[in-house]
Amino acid sequence: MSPKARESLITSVVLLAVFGFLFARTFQMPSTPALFPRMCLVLLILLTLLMLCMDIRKHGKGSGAEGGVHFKEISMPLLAFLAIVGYVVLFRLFGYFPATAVMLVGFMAVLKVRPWRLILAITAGYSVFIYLMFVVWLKVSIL
Amino acid sequence: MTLTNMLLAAIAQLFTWDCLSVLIIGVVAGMVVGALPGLSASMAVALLVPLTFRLAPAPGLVMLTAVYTSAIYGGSVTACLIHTPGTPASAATAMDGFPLTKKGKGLKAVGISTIASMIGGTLSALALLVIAPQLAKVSLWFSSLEYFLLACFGLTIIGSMAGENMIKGLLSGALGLLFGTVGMEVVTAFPRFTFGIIALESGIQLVPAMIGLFAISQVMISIEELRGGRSKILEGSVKDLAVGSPLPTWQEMKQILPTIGFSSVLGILIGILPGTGCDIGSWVAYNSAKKRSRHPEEFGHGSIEGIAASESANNAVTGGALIPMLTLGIPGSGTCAIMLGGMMIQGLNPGYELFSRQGDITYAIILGFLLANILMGVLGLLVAKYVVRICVIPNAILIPLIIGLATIGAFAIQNSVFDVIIMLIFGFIGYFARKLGFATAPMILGMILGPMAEKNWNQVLLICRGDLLGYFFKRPISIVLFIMVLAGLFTPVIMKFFSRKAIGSDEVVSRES
Repeated sequence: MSPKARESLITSVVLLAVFGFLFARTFQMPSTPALFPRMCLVLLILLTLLMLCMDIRKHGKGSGAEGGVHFKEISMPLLAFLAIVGYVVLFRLFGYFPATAVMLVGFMAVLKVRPWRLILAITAGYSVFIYLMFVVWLKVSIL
Repeated sequence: MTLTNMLLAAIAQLFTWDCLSVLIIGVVAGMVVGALPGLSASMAVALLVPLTFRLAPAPGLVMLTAVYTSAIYGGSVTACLIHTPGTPASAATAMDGFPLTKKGKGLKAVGISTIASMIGGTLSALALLVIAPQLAKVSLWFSSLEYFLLACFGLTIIGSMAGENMIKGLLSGALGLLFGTVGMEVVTAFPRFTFGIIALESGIQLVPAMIGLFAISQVMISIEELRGGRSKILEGSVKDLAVGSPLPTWQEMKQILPTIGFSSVLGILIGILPGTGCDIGSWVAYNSAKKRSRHPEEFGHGSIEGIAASESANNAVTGGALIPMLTLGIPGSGTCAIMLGGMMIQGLNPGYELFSRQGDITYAIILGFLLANILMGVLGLLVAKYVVRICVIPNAILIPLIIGLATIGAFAIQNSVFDVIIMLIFGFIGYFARKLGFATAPMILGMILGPMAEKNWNQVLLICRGDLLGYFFKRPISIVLFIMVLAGLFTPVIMKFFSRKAIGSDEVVSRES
């Protein structure tokens, strides 16, 4: 099976499992509110099966290494995502400005932005801009 | 309120410090984001929607329309100067803009694209001003059945947003419909798919979801590109790109004005058709201009008519796409779908009321859009050569700035960290959706139109008392809308055919030369 077909198979299995679970949940609802979600889920299940059939027919016989999503390719974006989650946790604990300063400096340092005074200038400039726009002008309480 | 009074009230709202300042911010922000390849008009609008909540409806929506039109224009600057269209709508512009730059007329290319964009956008704003109020009157005849069919008609534009894989596009749209069911059901108030989370009972907030799908997923894609060695959009120097004068000569103006006029009308008509978009508009106009030109052999080699055609058409599409959005609630493009979300949250519901009871706000938005197009042209001629310099800003700096802006944007709507979590979840979904070839715009469309379709369908079932077909055939407007739904399903296929034909014939010309 080609990597592309394997990718489609895994995606379809995950999607079908999620849709199946949600479909089962609709039986805990009264009939009126359950109707529209059920219609959506049936459509989603049919489209997923159709996608799987078409992808396997198109890519099933290939054996090349190219195509498909590789873990190596998505590892950095996933790490970045975890860093963003960490930033949101900091935001919840210490407020927007301290958390954002840490995030900006951290991201730019890791992504090799140099010199350090540029990093600090960008962080300070961004914080002042956001303070003026959101706190002073739009009266958002983010402090 | 009479039309004159509404227009006067609209002008009074528009010419205030609040409105004019956000108009300028919108134009500049749109130009900058549009010029950055990878960052789309949709992303710019999604990031700015939260700002509009704290503003009055008129300035808020004026800013969004300004961002929309100037982002489409901004894409042409990099298309002309570095052969990298900032948005897909400027791909046709690059065909002639960059060859003109290589001839040492980079600023002339930018100047023509600026003037064409300004005229195209302005004409489309005038069309919006004239056509939209008349079309809105049609919505007075609508009952729940027509609104249900209208939502179905809106959903047919998923076909044009689907990208390369239609099935995946439809899947994405259906997923949006499912997300739209989260929260309390309208008739029975029964909580669906909330898993005991109280914050979910009012449904998934549209704006954090949009920011996640467009901005956070883009951040993750950029990180991936950074790892692949692409540290900034333009690796070389921009010093020698923008040389010469941006203003065309009188002779050149006489040559391009008919093309601009024709392409603008074409763009407006294409914009009105749901299921099309700026990219299709620019290709169709480019092809049409080549067929009508006295010098078709110049197309693909730096033809000023080619630049004028594609740029006037893509900006004319923006105003055209706003017509069905404001009158019938059908977003003409992915960006319009996001704007529709912003509009509804401001309490502005598309339809006749928008042009009667809320006429002062609506006309202020339309006049603001008109002004934005003119301002975009003036600013474009003044700063275009500096805009291209943003392409040398490293991604390593842009990425954390986008994260910070996205987070504050998602939070500011309700001062809720839960919305930031929604943004993260949708960012994650959006990244994998894009990696696996699923378009994200249909998801937003599904989330907006799904609840509208469900609510009206439930009302139809109550009204028709079991005789749905009888009720349907008693209402001629429903039959017309049903035919429109069927036509809407096939419009993207037909438009893509014409667009591909246009691209194909250009490739033939390039090979022959």
